[in-house]
Amino acid sequence: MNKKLSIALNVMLYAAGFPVLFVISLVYSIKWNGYGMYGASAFAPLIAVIIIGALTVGLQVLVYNVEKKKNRKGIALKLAIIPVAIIVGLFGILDIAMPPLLKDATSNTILYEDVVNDYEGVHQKLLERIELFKQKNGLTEDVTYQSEEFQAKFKPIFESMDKAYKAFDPLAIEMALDSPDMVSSILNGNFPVSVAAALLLKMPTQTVDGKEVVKHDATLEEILAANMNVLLTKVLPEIMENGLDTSTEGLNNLLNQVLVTKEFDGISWNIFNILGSNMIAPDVDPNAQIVKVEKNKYGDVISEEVIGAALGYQDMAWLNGIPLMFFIPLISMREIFYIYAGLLALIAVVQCYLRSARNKQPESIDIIEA
Amino acid sequence: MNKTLIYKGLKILFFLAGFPLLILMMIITMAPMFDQEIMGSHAANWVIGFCAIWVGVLIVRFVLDKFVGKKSETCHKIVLVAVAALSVLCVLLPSAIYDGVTEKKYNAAYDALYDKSDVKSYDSITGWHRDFTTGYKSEVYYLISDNYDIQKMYGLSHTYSEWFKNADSYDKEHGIGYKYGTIEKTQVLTKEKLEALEKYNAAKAELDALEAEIAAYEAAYTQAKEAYLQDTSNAQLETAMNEAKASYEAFLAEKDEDLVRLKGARVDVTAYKAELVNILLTAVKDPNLLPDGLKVNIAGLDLDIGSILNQVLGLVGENITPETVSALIPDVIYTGLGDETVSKYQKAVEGSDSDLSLAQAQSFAFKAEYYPSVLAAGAMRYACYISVALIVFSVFATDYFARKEKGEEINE
Repeated sequence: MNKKLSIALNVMLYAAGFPVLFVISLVYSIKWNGYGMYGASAFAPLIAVIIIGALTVGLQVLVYNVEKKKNRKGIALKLAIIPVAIIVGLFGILDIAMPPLLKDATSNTILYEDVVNDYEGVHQKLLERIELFKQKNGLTEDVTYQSEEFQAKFKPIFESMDKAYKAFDPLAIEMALDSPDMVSSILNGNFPVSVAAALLLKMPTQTVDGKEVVKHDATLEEILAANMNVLLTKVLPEIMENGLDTSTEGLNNLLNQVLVTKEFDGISWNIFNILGSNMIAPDVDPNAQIVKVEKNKYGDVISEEVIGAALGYQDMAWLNGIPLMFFIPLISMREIFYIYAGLLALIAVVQCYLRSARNKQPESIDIIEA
Repeated sequence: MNKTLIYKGLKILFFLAGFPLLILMMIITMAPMFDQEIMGSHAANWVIGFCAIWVGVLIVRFVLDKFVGKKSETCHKIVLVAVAALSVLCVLLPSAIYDGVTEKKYNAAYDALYDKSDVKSYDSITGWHRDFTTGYKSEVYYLISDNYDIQKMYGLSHTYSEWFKNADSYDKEHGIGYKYGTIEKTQVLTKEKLEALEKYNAAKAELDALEAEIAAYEAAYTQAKEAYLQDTSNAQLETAMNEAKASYEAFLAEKDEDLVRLKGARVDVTAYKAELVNILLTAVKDPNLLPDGLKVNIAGLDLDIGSILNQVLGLVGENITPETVSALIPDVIYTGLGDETVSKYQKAVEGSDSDLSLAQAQSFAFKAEYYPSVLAAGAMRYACYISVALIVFSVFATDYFARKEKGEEINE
C-alpha cells in the first residue's frame, strides 16, 4: 500500500476517533454548564473523554509495543478490546456505585434508574425546583444554583429542615409523602391514625433506662392527653377571645398552634412545612415565610427574622442533592460512548491493518506515529 | 486440551457474541411486551427484523469472502473491515430511521393533548421500556395495567374491536353485533369528551354571564331596599324598591328556562328544610358520635372527652342555632340534572369512578397508539447501543479464531 495514503488514512481515522468524541463532549459540556447547576461536573463528559482517551491510547501503545517486541500476532484484536473494556468499565462502575449514593442523598426520591432512563426529565424537575425556589425567595433571573446568593438562602434553611426531617419519624414522613391527600387517606383507613398522630401531634413520652423516649405505642387517649394542654391553654382562649376564624388562613394559624414542631437553628418546622403542603388549607403555602427566632438563655424570644422561603423537604433534598448529579451530564452521553466503543474498536483494528501493510520491516512502532 | 478445539470454541463464542447476543438481549429486554394484546407485535417485528438483518450481513460476508476476500490477505482484511462497518450501520441505522419517522409525528400528537401530565415526551418515554425498574415505573407495565382497568370499567373483553360472529344484526353505532375494544372505546370517549369540553366552556360562559346579570339585578334591588329601609316614609324610595324588585323578578322569570337548562331541574327544599337543619344540628352536637367513655387524664383529673367537646361547641357554637343553619341552606337548589347542564358537561370532562375523564381517555388513546411502538423501539435501541462494540469485536475475533483453528498464519 502507498505509504502516504496509509498515513493519510491513519490520520483520518485518528481524527474520527477521540478528537470527534472530544468535540461532541465539549458541546454537551457547554450545554450543561449553561444551566449553572452542575458546577464543574457539567464538564464530566469532557473529563471522561480525556480520561478514556488517555487510558485507551496509553494502553494501546503499551500493548502494541510489548506485543510487537515479543513478536506476537493478533495485536489488532487486543487493541480493539481496550476502548470497549474502558468505556463499558466506566459505566459499569457508575452503575454499581451511584444507586446507593443517590438513594441516600435524595431520601429515596430519585433513583439511579430515573436518571439513566430519563436524565432529561430529572434535569427538568431539578430546574423547575430551582426556579420555584428563586421565585419564592425573590431571587433575580441571573442567579443560578451555583451562585453564592442562592446558596446563602438555601443552605441555612435546608440544614435546619434536614435536622427537623430526621427528628420526625422518617417512615411516617415517607408514608405521608406517598399520600398527597392524607386527610382522605386517614378517613378511608389507608393511613393509620397513629402514624398521622405521630406526625401532627405531640407524642407522649416514657422513661426507658433513665431516658425519656417517645412512646410509639401510645393510645389515642394518651396522645389526646399529651396535646390537651396546648388545646386548653392556646387554642381555646384564642377562639373564645376572637371567635373561630374559618377562613383558610385562620384555620392554618390555628393548626400551626396545635401541630407539633421540631426546632433547629432557631427555625420551627411542623409536618406541613416538611411536606410542603397543607392538606387542611391547600391554598396556604406553609413555607412562604421561614422565620428564624433568636432566644436568650432563658428561652425568651429576642428577635424574629424572615430568612426566606422554602419548598417541601423532598424538593429541598433534591436541590441539596444536585452536586451528586454530576453524572447527569455524563449519562446524557452514555449512548454516544457506547457507539464510540464500537467505532474505536473498529478504528483500532483498521489502524493496525494499515500499519502492518505499511511496515514491511517490523520494528517498535509508536502507535501515534501518524 | 486440543488447541484447535479451544480456537473452535472461542470462534463460536465470539460469533455468538455478535448478532445472536444482540437478538437475545432484545428478546430479554422486550420480554414484558410479548403476548400482550395492547403491546401489539412491535417487539416481535423488531426481533424478526434484526434476524433478517443478521442473515443479510452473513450473506454479504459470505459473498465478499468468496469473491473478494480470498484474493489476498489485504482483500480479506478489507472485507472484514467492510463487514464490521456494515454491521455498525445495520445496528445503528434502524433506530435513527425510526426516530426520524416517528418523533415528529409523536411530538405533534403530544402537543395536541388536552392534558400532558400523564404522558411522557418522546425523549423520556424511550427509556421507560424496562419492566424491571426498582420503582416499578416501567411504562410497559403501566400501559398493560391501564388497559385491564379500562376493560374492567367498561365491561370490555379485548383491546381491539371486533364484530360478533353469527349475530342477528350488526350496528356498530349502537353496539349491536360489535364488541368495542379498549383502544376504539377510548378514541370514541375522547371524541365525545372533547365535544363535551367545548359545550362545557360555552355553557359555563353563558351561565357565568347570566349569573352576573342576576347578581347585578339582585344588587340593585338590595340597594334600593336598603335605601327604602333607611327612610320608610319616602314613597319615591318605595317605588324605586318595588321597581327594582319587579325588574329582578321579571329577569328571573325571563331567564328561568335558561337557568334550568344550564343548572338542571330545580327543586324547592323549603318543605324539608326544618328536618335537614335538625339532622345537621344533631350530628354536630351529639356526644354519642365519640366512643363511649373516652377520657383523658389532665393534671391527675379524668375528663370526659364528650363533655369537653360539648363545652367547646357550646363556646364556639353559640351562633349555631336552627336559624343560622337554616340561613345557610338555600330554599331552592338546582340538581344539575338535564341534557345541557354545565355540571353534566363538567362531569363528562372530569370523569368519575365509573367513567374516564377526558384527560384519562385521551392519554390512554394516545398511549395505545404510540407507546407500544415507541417502547419497543426504545428497547431495540437500548440493546443495539449496548451491543454495537461487541458486534464489531465479534467480526474480527470470529475471523481471528477461525483462522487460528485452520492453522493459518496471521500477519498483523
